[in-house]
Parts: sequence; structure tokens; C-alpha cells
Amino acid sequence: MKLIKKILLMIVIFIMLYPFIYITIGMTQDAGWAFRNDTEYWFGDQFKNNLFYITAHFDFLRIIMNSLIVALSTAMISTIVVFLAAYAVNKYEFKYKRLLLMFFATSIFIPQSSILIGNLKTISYLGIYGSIVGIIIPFIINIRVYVYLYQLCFYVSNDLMEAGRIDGATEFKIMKDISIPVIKDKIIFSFFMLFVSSWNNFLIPMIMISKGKNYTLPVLISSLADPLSYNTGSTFLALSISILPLIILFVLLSKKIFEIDSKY
Amino acid sequence: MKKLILLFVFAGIIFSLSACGSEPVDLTIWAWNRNVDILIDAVERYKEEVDSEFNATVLSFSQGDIDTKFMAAKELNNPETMADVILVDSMKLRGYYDMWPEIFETFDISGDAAEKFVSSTIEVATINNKLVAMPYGIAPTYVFAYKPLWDTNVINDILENGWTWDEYKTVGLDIISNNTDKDVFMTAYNMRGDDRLYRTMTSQKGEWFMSRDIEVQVGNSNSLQAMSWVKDLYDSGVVGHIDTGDYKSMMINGQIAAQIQGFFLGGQIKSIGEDTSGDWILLPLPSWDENESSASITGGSYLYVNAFSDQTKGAKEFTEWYTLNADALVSGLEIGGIFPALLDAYEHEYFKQEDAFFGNQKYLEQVASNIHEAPAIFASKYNAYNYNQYILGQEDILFNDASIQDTLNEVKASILENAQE
Amino acid sequence: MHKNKYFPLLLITPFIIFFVLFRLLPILFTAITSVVDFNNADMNLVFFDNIKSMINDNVFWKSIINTLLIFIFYIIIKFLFIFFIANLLEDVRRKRLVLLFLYLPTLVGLFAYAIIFKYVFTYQGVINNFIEMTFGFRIDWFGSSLGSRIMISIATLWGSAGFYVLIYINALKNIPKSYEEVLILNGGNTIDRLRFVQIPLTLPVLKTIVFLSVVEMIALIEIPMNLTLGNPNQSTITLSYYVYIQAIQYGNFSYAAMLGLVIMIIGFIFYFVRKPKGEFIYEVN
Repeated sequence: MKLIKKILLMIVIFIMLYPFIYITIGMTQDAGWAFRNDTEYWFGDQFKNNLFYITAHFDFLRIIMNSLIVALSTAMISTIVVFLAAYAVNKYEFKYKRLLLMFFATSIFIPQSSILIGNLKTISYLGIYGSIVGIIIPFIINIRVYVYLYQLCFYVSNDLMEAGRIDGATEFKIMKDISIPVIKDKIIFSFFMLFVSSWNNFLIPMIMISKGKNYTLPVLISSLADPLSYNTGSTFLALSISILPLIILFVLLSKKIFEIDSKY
Repeated sequence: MKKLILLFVFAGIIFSLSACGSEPVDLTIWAWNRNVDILIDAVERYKEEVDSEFNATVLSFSQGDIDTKFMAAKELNNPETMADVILVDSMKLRGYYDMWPEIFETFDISGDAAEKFVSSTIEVATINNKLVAMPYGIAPTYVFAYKPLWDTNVINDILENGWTWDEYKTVGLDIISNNTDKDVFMTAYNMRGDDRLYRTMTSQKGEWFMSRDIEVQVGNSNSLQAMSWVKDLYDSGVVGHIDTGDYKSMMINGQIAAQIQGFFLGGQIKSIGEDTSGDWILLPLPSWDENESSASITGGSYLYVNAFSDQTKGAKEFTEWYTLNADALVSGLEIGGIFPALLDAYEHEYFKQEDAFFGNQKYLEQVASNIHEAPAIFASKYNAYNYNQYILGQEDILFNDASIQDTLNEVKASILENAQE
Repeated sequence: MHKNKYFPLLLITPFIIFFVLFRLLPILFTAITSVVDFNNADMNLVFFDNIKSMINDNVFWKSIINTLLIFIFYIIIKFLFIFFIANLLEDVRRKRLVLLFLYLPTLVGLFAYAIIFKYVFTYQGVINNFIEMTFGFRIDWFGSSLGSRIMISIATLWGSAGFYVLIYINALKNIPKSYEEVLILNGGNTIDRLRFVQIPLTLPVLKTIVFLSVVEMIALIEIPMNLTLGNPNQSTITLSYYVYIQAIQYGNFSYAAMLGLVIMIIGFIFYFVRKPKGEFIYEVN
């Protein structure tokens, strides 16, 4: 029975990872590969051609750099801003705290598409429309990460914090030396989640980019994936390159993330 | 002292004169797909032949994304975020213009110049007596015939004498009954999402969903006739329904005898079906009646210039030069398979070539021979909505056996209602 | 808790600034757009027109039904998957490795799944090849409303399953072994364990999963937009996608803004129904 379970598990894992396999094979094949009925599920020889197509039409390296810079900046700023807020709300009492909590909580229901134009108008009024800053600043708020960090703060012992106060430390020092170290790894995970979210961010960057300097990866992929075009091989290649850094980062960080003995 | 001052003023004038007027033009151009390659080539040529200081960046966006950007720019009222020269599909042109007429820089090519293009393209791009975009490419619709499935005599007969839609069916039934080893169709496509057959037929009469004056054409006698042909062809198995994209693989698998599609299909099957080279031939479309022209243009693209750009002059010069330049356009055809809208281009040497893929047919000449006869079809700003409504109707008629007359009347009614709001 | 009043306010200020700028302000703009139409020079009061249009808008109501149906498929498949995987993982010591693999697909944007599914679920495609081999028939995924909706559920699940499995596994860890032992002693099998032990004792987390799934469904746009384009017969147009269609395809910004507001209100109602006191979404026990 256990053996059957293990086999089933491996089948499930294989199925879950199938899209990655599909993309990896697809990026070495020509454009018609995905459409043919009797396709071979093995690597082809079109990798160079597909890559060449991308580099001939786009400044590929520049685009990757853009995505990297944007994602890193967003993740850094966002982690700080969101963590501080979650920490403050979890560990301290202040006026209107309940109201604020409610606000933040219900805002999880604001879908990006509903406020799309409103968001763009704000960005426009702030004068950052079309610039790199405009792709970073609007995405500092991430309610899921906020909730995650809020939950995390429960694992910081209030008693320890009290002890710190008795010893005469400032709140800031307490936060730095007592609270954060406890949940440091999980904060790094938040950073990672924010990085991923920014890396995959498509709609608003696409709308704002006009001169090509600020092209990011998702816009590139969307352009290649145009239903009218016939570049499936290149699309898969761009997808692979878009996914690869995330996988690498994830594997590196996974040790810190998946401690199941402690609560998530 | 006076002399010094005069000298300075002189120098100042000379400097300012040299500064203004010699600002090099640096454009941003948006296009999708193969048009990007074509326009990059166009930019190179312009640099060589006209203005060596000229510079332009061609950015590739998917068509849907350009739509979104247009709409967002309109709503936010920041046209400066749009490119200087933008490619636009004929289906979207009128809609864009109605939404935002001010962004369209008008072109002033009257008289002779206007006649240089396939007339229907000028008709479509002339709105309120102004030419709002330069014709760039057209999509002549043709029949891509797979010879091994045919009787050669029939092919030759069609090439010489043409055929009608009724004959399309009889020929189709013949072919199917002669090729029973696998599923064969004359034409196959996604009949739940594509109006192509219907559109091809009505376009031959210069109709689609709405006329230039926003009169509904769905449900009129041509519409009913076209729809009954479509249904008949589907019911009899001559035309098949398949998921999106699969028809190309079916074509190179030898299962489609006479695919009706825009000209660009040739380039696509060439790239995925090299081993079927020589098995293809282009046949003219069936016509409504003998002695009627079968020419049909079911789509096209134009280049328009952003009137709010700060380089409108340079952009206009480039656009006009390019779209009127036969050599450049033919080069584009070679690179990206976009059929030019410029009549002069058809005189080019390139058109006289025999293509081995099409069994040494002078296929370009074939297409060019009657394309100027194709009537114009119009896409209003309601086109996206009309298309959706029509497709729902087509689905009902084909797959649920709904009454053609009633369904088309319903479609007409809902189109009318939407246009009133 | 302590004396320094300003410290928390200081910490929370940047968040509030960004929140106001990029959550509240856009909502305000959206509300204004839905009430007043700036396009016509005379700034008509279109609020009531919009409401009237909405009530008569078949496609809007259809999109609500679509979203609901897709949600039902989504939640069913999701729970089946979670329980199944949890069961399979019970005896696995190296859980971390497996969870890593399961979590990987969540890193990819949903857009990628839309593209891949487009090719993989065609009538002649890979999935159907497999189904034909095992069951002997092919499914017309893109051609049927049912098939398309299930496709969308599966695609969305791919992008989120790993995350939910993780939550559930962690919740399971908190169940004292004693409960399970009692059940096994009394002759219970796996299904019984599920029914009588696991589900009741992880109920809060399960509710959270449902809640988050609702949020996902309301915001779902990338998959229908790129995979099915709303077809067949508009059966896969979800709420958010419809707002987008109205705004970008048809150019009815004012009406789209109103629909956007309505969607937000639906979400808020759902939230308050579930947490009448305005507490937080999920609490750790």
C-alpha cells in the first residue's frame, strides 16, 4: 500500500511539473510543433533559432535587466513597508486600529482589473507614468503578504519584548534584535513572494511602456504569444527564461521556507 | 564694440538656425508579428535613400496589447504615451477613429496619389472625407488547394473559367467521396469562433455587418444567402469544424482540399510544411454567379500617425514615403508575407516569379490580377460587439439547427440596439 | 501594551500612504467615472443609466453565473486534490522535498498556464491523446461550456495548488495523534478519518481556503482572457474579465467602472457575511 502511495505521489508530481517539461521541450522546437498531432516529445534543434528570433526583435538582455531591477526594488521596498505595518498592527495598540484592520482586510477584494483605470490615473497624476518608478511604486502594497507577515508576528513572543523594554531598549531596538531574528527566514520568504509577484506583473507595465526602454519580460512574452503570430517556440523560450531565475531562487531559499515542524 | 556685438548676434543667429531644423527624427513605431521585421527593413531603406539622420525604433507588441494601450491612453488623455507611427488593422480603424479622431493625423494625397492604391483600401481609410491612415497591406482571400486530393482537370477548369459557390459544394462532395482513407474537408476552421467563410462571401458583395453609414447588413438578402451556403456546406460535411490552430496541421497532413484563407496563410504553411512543397496551388475564390468577380479582401492593415506626437512631420514623411514605395513594399512582402496595397508594387519583377511551393504557379500575379476589383467592407466602432453577436448566431445556426432567418434577425436586432445607445 | 504612542504610527505610515494612493484613490476615481461621464463634453450624470444598463445586461448576469460555476468546479477539484495529496504525503518522511515540487508551479504567472493549456487541451492535443488511450474517447474542451469551464478551473488550480497544500499540511500537523489513533482502533478507514477527524479539526483552515478561493475567482481574468476568450458562447467570461471587455474592447469606461464597483461590493458583502465583526481573515490557533 505504501508503495502504491509513493508511486501515485510521483505520478502527481510529474503531472504538476508537466508544464515545465512542456515548455522546456517546446523551446527547442519550431513554431508548428505545438500544433502538430503526431509530435515527438523530445528535444528538437530549434533552440538557437528561437533565441535568435527574440534577440533580433528585442533587446533581450536589457529587458531581463529591467525586470530584475524592478522586481528587486519592489521586493525590497515592499518587504520593509509591509512588514513594518504588519508588525505595528500585531504588536501595538493604537487609535483606529480596528478600523484600519478592517480596511486592509477588505481590500483583498479589490481586483486589479476593476481599479485599472483609476490606478493609471493616480500614476499619471503623480507624474511617474511610463517610468521605471511607475512600475515599482504602485505595487508596494500586497495584501496577501501583509496577512502572511501579520500571522508571522504571532510567533514573536510578547514576553520577550517586555523583557527587552524592562532592560531599557527602545522599541526600534526590540524590533531589530528581538522580534525580527525570530521570523527572519519567513520574512525572506515574503521578499521572495514579492519578487515573484513583481517579476510576473504584466498589465500595468504593458500599458505604460511606450518607448521600449522599460520593457519587461511579461510584455515580451505577451508580444511573442500573440495569437496571430506563429512564434510558439520563441514564446516557450521566453517563458523558460522568465521562470528559471524564480526556480533557482526558490530552491536556494527552500530550506528556510519549508520548516513544517514550526508553524508556517 | 559695435562690431563685437554684431559678431555675437551673427554667431547667435547662425547657431540657432543650425540647431532648429536639423533635429534628427527619432520615431517610435508600434507593430506586431512579421510587420516588425518589415518595418525595420523599411526604416533601413528610408535611412539609406532619403535621410541618413533618420532613426526609428520598431517595438513589437501584440495586437491586443496595442488595443489596450490605445484605450488607456484615450481614457487618461495622454496621447504622448502612444508611438509616433502605429500599425492598425482595418477592422479596428473606424472604431479607433470614432473613439478618438484627434489622434489621427490626416494625409493629403488627393487625385493621382489616391489612385495608386487598391481602391477599397482608400475607401476604408477615408473617414469624413479625410484620409486618416496610409494603406499598408491587404489580405486578399484565396483558395489554397492541395493538389493530391484533386482531379487535375477540375483544377485547370477552375483556373480558366472560375467557379461558383454551388460548384464549390459539388466539387467538394466529389473530392470527399474520392478520398475516403482519412477525414477530408474542403475547408476547416473553428466555426464557433470564426466568421471567415461568411465574411468571405459577403465581402464579395461589399458587405459585412454594417455599411459605412452604420446600416446593418446582417439579415439582408445577401446575408441570408451567404449563411444558407455556410450551413449547407457544414451540414454536408464539405466544411469542417475544428479547434483553433489545428487546420494548419490538417493542411500539411493532406486533409484539406481547398482552404479559404487570407493570403498570409501561404507563408505559414510554407514554414511548417516544407515537405509538401509543390503540392499546392492557389485557386480563385468561388463567385456568387458566373461572370461576377470573385475578388475578396477580408482584412488589411494601415499605418497611422499620432497627431499629438512632437515629430508628426517626420513621421508623416516616413509613412507616406514608405507606403508609396513599391520596392520597399515588395521587400516587405518578401520578408514578411504582407501583400502590398500599392498597385505599382504589382508591376515589380518579384510578382512574376514562379513559386515551387505552389507547383511553379505565378501565384503572386494570380492574386494581383483581380484584387483591385474587390469591394470595400467596413468595420464600424461596434465591430467587436457585432462580431460577438454574429458568432453567437452562427453557432446557433450551425450547431443547434436554429432557423437562419430568425437567428439573423435576432442578431440584427441586437446589433441595432447596441448601436442606439 | 507599552508607552511609546508614536512608534507604531511611524511604522505604519508608509503603508498607509501607499494604501491611500494605490487602493483608495483608484477606487475614488473609479467611482467618479461610473457616476459622471467625462467623454461627452456636458458631463452627464450617467450613474442611473449605468445601473439600468447593468440590470438589463444579460452578459453581466451570465458572467456572474460563469464565475460561480467555475468556482464550484475549482473548489471541488481543489479539495479533492488537497485531501488526496495530504493522504499520499502521510507516510513520506521527506515532506519538504515533495512540497517543494508541488509549490514550484505557483511561481509561474497564470498567463503561462493559459498559453500552455491552449495547445495542450486542443481536440487533437496531448491531454486528449492521453484520455483516449485510457478511456477511449476525446473531449471537446474548447467547444463545450462544461469543458471550457473545467479547463479554466484546472488552469487556475495549477497556479495555486501548492500554496493550499502547504497550508493544509500545516493544519493537519496540529491535530493531536490521539484522535486518529482512537478512530483506527475503532476500525475506521481513510475516508472515516477524513470525515470525522481531519475535516472537523481543520475547519478554520478549510474555511480560509474557501475564502481565498472566492477572492481568486472574483479577480480571475488572465486565464479566460488568454485561454478561451470567453467562449464558447460567452460561457467563460468571468466577472473581472467582463469589466475588462467593457472597458477595453467596447470602450465603455463609465459602465465598466460601475461594474468594477459592483464587483468590489459583492466581495465586501461576502467578507462581512463571513466575518461580521470585521476580524481578520484567518487567525492562527
